[in-house]
Amino acid sequence: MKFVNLLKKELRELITLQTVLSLVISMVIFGLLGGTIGSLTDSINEKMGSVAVADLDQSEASAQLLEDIQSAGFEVVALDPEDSEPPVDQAEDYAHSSCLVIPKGFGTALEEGRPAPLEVSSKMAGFSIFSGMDQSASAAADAAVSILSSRLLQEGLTEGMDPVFAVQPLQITETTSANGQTAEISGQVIQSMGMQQGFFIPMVVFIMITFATQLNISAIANEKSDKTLETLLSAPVSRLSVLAAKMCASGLASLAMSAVYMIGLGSYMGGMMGSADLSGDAEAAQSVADAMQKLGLSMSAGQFFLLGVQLFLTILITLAVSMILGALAKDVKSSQGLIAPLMFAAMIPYMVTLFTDISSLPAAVQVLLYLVPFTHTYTASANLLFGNIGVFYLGLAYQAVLLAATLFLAVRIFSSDRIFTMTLQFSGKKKKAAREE
Amino acid sequence: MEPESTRRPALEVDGLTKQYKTVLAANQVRFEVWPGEIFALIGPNGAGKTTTIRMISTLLQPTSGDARVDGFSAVQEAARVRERITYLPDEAGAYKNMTGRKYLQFMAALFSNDRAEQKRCVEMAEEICGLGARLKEKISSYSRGMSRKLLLARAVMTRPSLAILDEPTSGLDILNALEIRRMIQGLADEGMAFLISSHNMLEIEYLSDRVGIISKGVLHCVGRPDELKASAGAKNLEEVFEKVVQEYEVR
Ligand SMILES: Nc1ncnc2c1ncn2[C@@H]1O[C@H](COP(=O)(O)OP(=O)(O)O)[C@@H](O)[C@H]1O
Ligand SMILES: [Mg+2]
Repeated sequence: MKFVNLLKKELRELITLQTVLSLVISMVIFGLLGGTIGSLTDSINEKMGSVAVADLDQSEASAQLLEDIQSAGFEVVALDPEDSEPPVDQAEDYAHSSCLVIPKGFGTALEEGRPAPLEVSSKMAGFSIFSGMDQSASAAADAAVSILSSRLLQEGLTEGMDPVFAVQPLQITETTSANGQTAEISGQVIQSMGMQQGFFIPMVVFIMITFATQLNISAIANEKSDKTLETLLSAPVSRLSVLAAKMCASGLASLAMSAVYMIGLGSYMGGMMGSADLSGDAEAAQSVADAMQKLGLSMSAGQFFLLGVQLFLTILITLAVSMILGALAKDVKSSQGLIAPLMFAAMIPYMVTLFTDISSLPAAVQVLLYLVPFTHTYTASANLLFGNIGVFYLGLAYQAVLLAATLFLAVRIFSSDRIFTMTLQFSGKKKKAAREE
Repeated sequence: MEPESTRRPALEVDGLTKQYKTVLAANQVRFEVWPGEIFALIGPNGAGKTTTIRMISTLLQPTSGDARVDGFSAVQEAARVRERITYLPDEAGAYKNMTGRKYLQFMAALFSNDRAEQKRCVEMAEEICGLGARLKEKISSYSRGMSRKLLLARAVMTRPSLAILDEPTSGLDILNALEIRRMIQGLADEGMAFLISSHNMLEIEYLSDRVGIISKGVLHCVGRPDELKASAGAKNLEEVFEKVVQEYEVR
């Protein structure tokens, strides 16, 4: 009964003009952030200096193709056609996650006036912009088609040549591999599907963390500056229910706000990935879904559950930490300074996971990043999809331990007089420091 | 051993001491408040009034000593004490987004799960605070005097054994302060015990039955204002304070 009373009051206090305003402001910030990501992806698409090519045909025609690609401005990295290692894997040594394969019979097909086969082969290791976005091979293939066809047209159609062949002299197949599986689908399509999971989920998590922190800290700070907290804690209610009501209210409110965001961002992300938008075509969408499934890149129910558990832990940690920080705050003003470090802790790993794979960073940086509990949440869906189950569970365990510790601390603070004395000493120090200046 | 007296103090403060890191804010403070009595802790800012009051209100853990409300220890049986007291912090506010009535209902529900009892509390508070139709408005629209009256009504509506009010009239204009003093006096006449604090010694003379003079954490003397004035040969409590502190420092 008393808990419900407290919870209702907390919710009423949270939904104010101020919180709605901050919602709108962060909405704008995320709009800008989304725009930056969009333009960044574009610039990466334009910048394709080199392309890895495996020439299995070793014919005159294939040599000509390599020349054509070079003339289009690509630097060709030749892969060893004799090597037993698949060309994509070889390409990785040259920092490429995609390559062109000129299969045997390429030259013969061209001589015979049939469209010659050309393969674009990509490998997915993650969804971040730099790890997955290598489109050099597919761009080179496009360039090759246009050069070859314009040459054929310039030379004039020889007798008996199919005009369709002159326009489309190459038959390009795109394959993508992930988790040791290969499917006939363009890496670009996979990438944009992956973006929805690799970007979208962390973005919503980030928003949720931001909200929960801000709501919770200012809820306590407000009570402190109005001294309503003293009134509340001298009343016959258990301190635990005061704490729980605050955490529940902030949790519920931030959940609701993230839901609103998810809808807004969903349409926004849809627009951003317009190039590979397949939603109009049900059949194509189904084949993409099938390919994702084959590659092990679509989430199973079990994986979704695990992701949910981790999200839940993340929110609870956020709430517990912000309760502790709120206890340190003297009033609303000083609470703003306390929000900043938590925001950075949420922001930095978010940015890092957005642009690169953490595993590619120096070990010390990796450790630092993994000490931040949110990092594990941002990487969770990619870890689950790309089979890094061990890393996922380690993160989950770390978060569980951290949650227990922070929750314990929060309860300790709230059930003792530290909730008041911590603040006062804090402000006392500040005053002293100010005087000494 | 004597059998327990039929008249037991509402509050017994027994050697309450609070040592902050560098400041001894309360040093062996000892006094009691009887039912129906208005007891005032008076002393300048920083004397230790709020610290003492917060220990009695179960918000601060004393370094040593104890306070008993209706015989229950603030240290050992804080939950029991919280059922019997109400505390109005100095400069306290209320939840600004609530209406006055909603605030009263919220607070009443913290003290009792019984609907009828909650209703009785809210009705009493509505009558005492005298805010009338303004109770339907948000607290953010209230003046300082109005919210103080609301908070005071909240503090007494649950009919606590002991109402603890920290600087209840500070920052108010004369008329509001007068009104609040009358409210307190009226309720004390009905048997409620009050522990109040003030740094305004002249004002408190008219309100309180007994006062305790506190300075630098030490409670120097306790008594009726006229007794204290007579024994110190002083015109008012400010002069009493001056003499008592001088005497103490000479010793
Ligand atoms: N949390 C705290 N930490 C350290 N010193 C404190 C704290 N709270 C109060 N004090 C100090 O204790 C003394 C008594 O303060 P207080 O009880 O607020 O006095 P009053 O209410 O009579 O003005 C002051 O010197 C004050 O600076
Ligand atoms: Mg004070």
